[in-house]
Amino acid sequence: MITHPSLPRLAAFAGGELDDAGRARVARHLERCADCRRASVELGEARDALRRATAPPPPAGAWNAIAARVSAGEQVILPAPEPAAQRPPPRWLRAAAVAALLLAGGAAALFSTREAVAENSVLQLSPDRPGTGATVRVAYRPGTLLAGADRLVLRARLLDDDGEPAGEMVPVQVAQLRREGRVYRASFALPDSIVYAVFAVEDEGGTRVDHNGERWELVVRDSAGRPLPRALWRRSEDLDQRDTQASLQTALRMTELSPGRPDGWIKRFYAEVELASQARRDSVTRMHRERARALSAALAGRGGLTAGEVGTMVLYADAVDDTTLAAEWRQRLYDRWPRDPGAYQQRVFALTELHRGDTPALFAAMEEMWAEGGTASAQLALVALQVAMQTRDAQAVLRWGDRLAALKPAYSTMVARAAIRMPAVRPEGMERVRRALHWLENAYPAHRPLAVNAGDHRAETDRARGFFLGALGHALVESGRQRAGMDTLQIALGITWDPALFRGIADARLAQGDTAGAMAVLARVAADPGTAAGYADSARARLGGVYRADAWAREVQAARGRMREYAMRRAENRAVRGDLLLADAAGARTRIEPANGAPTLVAFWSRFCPPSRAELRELETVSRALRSRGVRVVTVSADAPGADFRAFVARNGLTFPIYFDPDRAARRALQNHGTPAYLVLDSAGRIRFDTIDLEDVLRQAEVLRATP
Amino acid sequence: MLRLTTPPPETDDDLAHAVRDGSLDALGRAYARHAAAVYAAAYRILGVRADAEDVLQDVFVGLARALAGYQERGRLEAWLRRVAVRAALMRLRARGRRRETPFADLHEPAEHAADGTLDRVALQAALRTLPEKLRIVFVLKEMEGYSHDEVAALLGISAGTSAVRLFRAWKLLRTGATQS
Repeated sequence: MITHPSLPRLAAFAGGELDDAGRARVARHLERCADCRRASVELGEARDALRRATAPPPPAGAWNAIAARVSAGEQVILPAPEPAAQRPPPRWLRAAAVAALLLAGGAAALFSTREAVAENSVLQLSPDRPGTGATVRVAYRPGTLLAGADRLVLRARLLDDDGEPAGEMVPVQVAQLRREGRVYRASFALPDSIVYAVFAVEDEGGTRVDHNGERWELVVRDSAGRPLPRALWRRSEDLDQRDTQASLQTALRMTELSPGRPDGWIKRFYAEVELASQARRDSVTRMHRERARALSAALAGRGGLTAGEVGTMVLYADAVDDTTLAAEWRQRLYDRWPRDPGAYQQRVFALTELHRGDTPALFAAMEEMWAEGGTASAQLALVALQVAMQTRDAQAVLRWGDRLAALKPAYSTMVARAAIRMPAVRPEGMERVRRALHWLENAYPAHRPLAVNAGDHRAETDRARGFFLGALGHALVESGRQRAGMDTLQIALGITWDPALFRGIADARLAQGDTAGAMAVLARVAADPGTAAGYADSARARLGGVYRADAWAREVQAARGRMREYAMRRAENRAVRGDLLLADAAGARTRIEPANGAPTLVAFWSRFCPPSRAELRELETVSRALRSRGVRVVTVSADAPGADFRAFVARNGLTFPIYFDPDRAARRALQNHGTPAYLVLDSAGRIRFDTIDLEDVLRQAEVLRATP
Repeated sequence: MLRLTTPPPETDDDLAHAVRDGSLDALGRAYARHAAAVYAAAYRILGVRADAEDVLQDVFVGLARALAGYQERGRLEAWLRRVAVRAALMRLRARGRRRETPFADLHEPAEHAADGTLDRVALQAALRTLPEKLRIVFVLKEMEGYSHDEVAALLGISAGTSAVRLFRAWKLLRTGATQS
């Protein structure tokens, strides 16, 4: 199998430093791999150049100074010259290592001990390599974020062997931590089905969350201490959401431990393609196409294949665009495991292909499949709902939407959004919206993601509730129930700050002849910093000019007050710890001082973090708007500066100032663990807002700017 | 028959004994022979000339006393470089509290780079931009010849972490050097 030698190993090979066996192994690999051949030559040259490179010569006056100091009888105690024999690290360091270095073997250690400790809090889990169903003891030493609390809560995202996608897993509280001096302790039993878990610690209300960048984790092992293949699979899947590079490292480990399993290879393919430059994507795909062929040959000759392996092989062959190979494995899957979820999924895809362009036939075939039942039918319902939405088939939206929501209640908001857009089924749509609101109010609070604090989650919930109440209010008005509709809209107004909602309410009020009520909401739109400058005039024109300029100005002033109230619900007031030091692309440090009379937005982002990357264009828009209003914008990329990085910035047209945080000093100073994260500092340099919602940042900065 | 007509060159061991006995002349000879290596090791870690000079001075001022623990025959320079690395790392930790900018003074006319090839200049530049953690591991492993276990013991990290940092350093160096 192909495992590419690491860069340092290639450098060691080029420098003739490997033992005979190692040299032979690398040489054999280089015969077959042109990429590594080229890299090896480059690295060898680079390494030699660096070794030859001399430092500047000792300064001229140094010897005279030394002679003078020695003659004066000065004593200097030098550190012990030999590295001490390897002592075990101190207990707490070991704890962090336990939490951070879960994969066995040197280079497979993914996170550095020091980095985990640098945030000042430590979570120790023992045993660090648990077997299935182990009882895990937890010791947590808080940093400044959670210091002093009487009780803390341990939450976790627990991933089982083969369940919901990682992105849909709802975190659960696994234990209450009891305080014993500076340390908080608890223990819990890992459920038998769980193979991978990520942890966070928070206060009882969930207002402050110490998630350490979601790096506190457990990977379940077999009796020999090796990570279970499914545990690595789930880890990789979990990391896909937030750190493609770490996901790739996990996939590499999978292919190293179990080269004969297709799941590691498909993970590796997705991560490698995502991380590869445009120019290299084809060659990555080509390499994997060969790998898929070789794997296929090896698997075909092996007995005891599982449905999972065969299903993954189908996906892998499809992913690398080898349709012949995919068809071959798909047939195998259908023949032997026709009712397996993987086969079911394949058949759903096949149906949509088969009946492309003939929606009635597609729906008929889907109905037939639905009648089979089975655990994977949510997949079918979801695909059918999407088809129904695309073809604007109101009845099909309701039918398939209800089926989906019954299997997966979290989809009830999606179903409601789809249904309320269909005027033909307005009463039914309103009913779906009510169900969604019920779900948002009752079930959604428990769906708070691991790294999100309660304030952010509530804001997110309120935004969704505001949207649905607005939709419900309009639907009520349109179905002739003006009074109930206007009341519902009034409730929506009190929940959230949403200019789109305000505009809709203004329309509804104007249609009712309520110009005073319309003015009040239009003034909110005008007060919002995201609104275009000329909006006020057009808004007043719509009101028919019945209000004088000063009345309008008073209304806008009042609206600003409401925006402030809304924004300040989530405000905090804490100091930056120490200096806020950032590095520019050349490595030079800059200290970020409080801005003169203006707030500062500090945005953390990374091009390797999918959610963060998805927001970069919006961040660009927001930062332009902020800068035009005199708000300083500082962004901190978690990535390394370099040619790739510069190309990425240019490609995406990013004009905001970008700094780096190589030693995590800024993250420590701001107590931030991840990306994306947006912190708004007031003009005195205190942290007033700390959010993952870019949408609110403009308003938060505006509130601070207007009332320092 | 071989006859000695000139005294044999002073070995490092002889030199070490003489320095330990307090001879300033011997210390001067040791300085002439090994100062460049000591200074280079310190400079690669610290990246600031003034700091590297402080380490250089401290090493030679404290040398007579430190040599009490010197037992490796014939490997004085390697031993001195290790002392320098340790002293430099101590200084680095102290500097972390003072917050200085490493390699800031490299933009002055660099006499040592005059004969440098383009490659070397680009690589040195790239080395300069490495995050400190990665740079230290890189310098220790690839330039000072420590093993991962030794790097781990020096820095209080695990050998695995050292390997990961070296790997990242190589990756960054490679992109950094090809961009210039």
